[in-house]
Amino acid sequence: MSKEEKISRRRYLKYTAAGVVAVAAAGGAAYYLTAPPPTPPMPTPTTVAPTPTTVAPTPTTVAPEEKPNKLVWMGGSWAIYPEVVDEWKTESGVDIEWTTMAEGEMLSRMLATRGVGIDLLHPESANATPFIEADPPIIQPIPVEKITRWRPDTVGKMWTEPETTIGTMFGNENAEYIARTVIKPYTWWKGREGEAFALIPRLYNFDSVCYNPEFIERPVTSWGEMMDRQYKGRVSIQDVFVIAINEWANYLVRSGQMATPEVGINDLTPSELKTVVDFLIGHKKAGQIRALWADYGGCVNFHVTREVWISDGWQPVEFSVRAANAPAYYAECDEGYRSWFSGEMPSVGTKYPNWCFRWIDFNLSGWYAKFIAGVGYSLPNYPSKELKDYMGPENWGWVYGGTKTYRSISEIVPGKDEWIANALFLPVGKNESMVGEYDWSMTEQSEDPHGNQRDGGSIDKRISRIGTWQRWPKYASEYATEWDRFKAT
Amino acid sequence: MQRMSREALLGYLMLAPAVIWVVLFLIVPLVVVLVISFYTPVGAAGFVPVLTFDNYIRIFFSPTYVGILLLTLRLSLTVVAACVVLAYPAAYFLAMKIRDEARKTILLVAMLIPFWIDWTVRMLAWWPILGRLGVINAALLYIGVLKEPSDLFIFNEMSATFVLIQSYVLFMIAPIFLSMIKMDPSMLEAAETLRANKLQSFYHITFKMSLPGVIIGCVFVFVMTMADFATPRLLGGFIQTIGLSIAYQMGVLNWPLATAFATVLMTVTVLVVYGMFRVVDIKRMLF
Repeated sequence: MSKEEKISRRRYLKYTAAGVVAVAAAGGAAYYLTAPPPTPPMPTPTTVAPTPTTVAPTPTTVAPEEKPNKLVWMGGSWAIYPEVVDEWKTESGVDIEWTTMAEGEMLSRMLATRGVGIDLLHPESANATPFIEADPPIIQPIPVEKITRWRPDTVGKMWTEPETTIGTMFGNENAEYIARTVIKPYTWWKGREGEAFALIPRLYNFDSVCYNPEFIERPVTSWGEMMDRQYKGRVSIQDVFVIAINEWANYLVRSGQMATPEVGINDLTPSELKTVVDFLIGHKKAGQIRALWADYGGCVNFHVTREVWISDGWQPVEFSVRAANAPAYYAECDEGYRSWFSGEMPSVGTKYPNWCFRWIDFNLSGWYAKFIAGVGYSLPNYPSKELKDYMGPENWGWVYGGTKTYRSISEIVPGKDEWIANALFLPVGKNESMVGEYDWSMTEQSEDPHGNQRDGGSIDKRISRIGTWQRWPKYASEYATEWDRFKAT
Repeated sequence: MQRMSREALLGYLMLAPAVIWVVLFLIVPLVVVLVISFYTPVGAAGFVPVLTFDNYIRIFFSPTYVGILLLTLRLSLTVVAACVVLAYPAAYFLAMKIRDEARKTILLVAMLIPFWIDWTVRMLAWWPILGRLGVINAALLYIGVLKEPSDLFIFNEMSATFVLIQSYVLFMIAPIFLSMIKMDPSMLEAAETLRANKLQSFYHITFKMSLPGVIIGCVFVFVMTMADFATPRLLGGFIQTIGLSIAYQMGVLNWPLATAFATVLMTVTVLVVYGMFRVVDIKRMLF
């Protein structure tokens, strides 16, 4: 090969590379000049008042709307189940093509595609603000009349009157704050409260402490018990800093070990963050915490293998642990629960908004309510007649009413004392300790005094014990930095 | 410029898709990452194109982040060293001691078996082996070495290192094995004729000729370990790597800080890889 040929090859590569870079750069520059920044700034905690002049984009509804073969859905792994997709497909004839991912990735895809080819999004409300605030919009409003199962008389008061129902155990001192900064701005389309939703809350929970009654032989009543030295090395906490820090801030504030935060328990300043993380570092150094759990399966595994005796968790964790025939309880702590909700948002790029609305409505149906109660989550329209009729009085009473099963626990889980037997009860499915799948009565009967009661009691009681609510904190990056410090120390 | 021959033009045309692909999907994203790392974060999530060094200052002036970077580096170098120690005899045995091709193939395929299992399942499968109620604890209790189950085997730096070694050792074995089977066996015979002892002929022929494979294996393992954040998260207990810090900052949509971390990680990786290639003249030994 001659020298000239070598040089021309190099030049060729150089020119090709330069050409591609130039084209890419020109494209990028054009995009940059014409498009908004990739991630819209988050609102400050005080950005709550609806602006009457805000004009929502017109839904791309075209009548009559063509029936799609499928709807493309993106969301959290906790929010989609093959059984639900199958049932919906049977009912509607429309498939759901679903992909689970974190909100950051979801947002990146929406910004890159402007929602074209994507029909539905399901973020957790704490991470929903970038979706709600994006300009130009990446989601579209959901007219209230399209969601037939959401009516003032079918929805729990926590969603219609959050100011008077949340955290009454704590004197409602932060109910107005939660309503103003979380529930209303994430649920309703800005400036159209009562007319259009931004996000339909179709899943929510009251997160607390999970523990194994084989090792902890009495009810846990405080988050602080996770740091009790008798459980040294048998504790795990979640490796998601905005959640973990929120939980421990709630504990420290409500147990009087930390001053009331400037903005809120769920939105700490850097110095308040330091207080919480210093507390955790102290316990970490003392060897209290065995490990952090990174995902749902990890937490369940910790409990099933008895690697961990007590951890923070979601109520579905309790049921998944029991399904593996390991006993688990879900604590009712004096400092209250850490609540959150997640729900559906139709993409601005969907060609099938009415089918999206139908899917959302289906997720508030009786069938779905019964299914999701078995998983461990709650629905907002729990007072509706449809749900009560579909679930039957015993199941509805157990899930939402705080009533006990009609049969005693010794009949359902024989051969064990009540303390362990109750910790093995599954509302759906069975494990090795149960005589069979529990058959919920569809007729009204009286509860057995030794029947099983759902941990946490009635939904009204759980709502009244909400200590903090998950939201996107202003200093989110500092949360991550402080968590790095906690882990690296 | 000299007029291109038809063959040369054809060659360039065939090369063009690869060049365009690399430039578009490697070079351009890297440039974007670099540029965003100098942008200014605003609010709780978002950034503006105002250039700043603050993201890098935040990394290099924080004892936490310097510590995380050093831990990541230490972890990766430990894994690389352990992989060399474990992989070299295995590759030597496969390449030099097994003459039967069928047996050689069976052993190579056997080494791949763990990789037929899904990664997450493979990671979680370590729990019943290393955990409190796991096989190792049970065995040690049975033979009386332990009186009660130990927490030492999982959820710490040691278990993360151990599992990383298991995950990546094959990427060390393969290039060493390939460099050894390329060797001409008559060279060893010549050394013997010239009265070199076994150690001398191993060092001057086998080892030196397998060095490119070792270096390539080191590069593979080092690069993958530096970027692996899932293994430390699942099995490392509290250890924090730079990959995890990137994931955290991406999780809170602080792209400027996350890309600054990524740039630092990439720079450190490139420097170490450059250092490895300085050990041997890889070009001369390979071509």
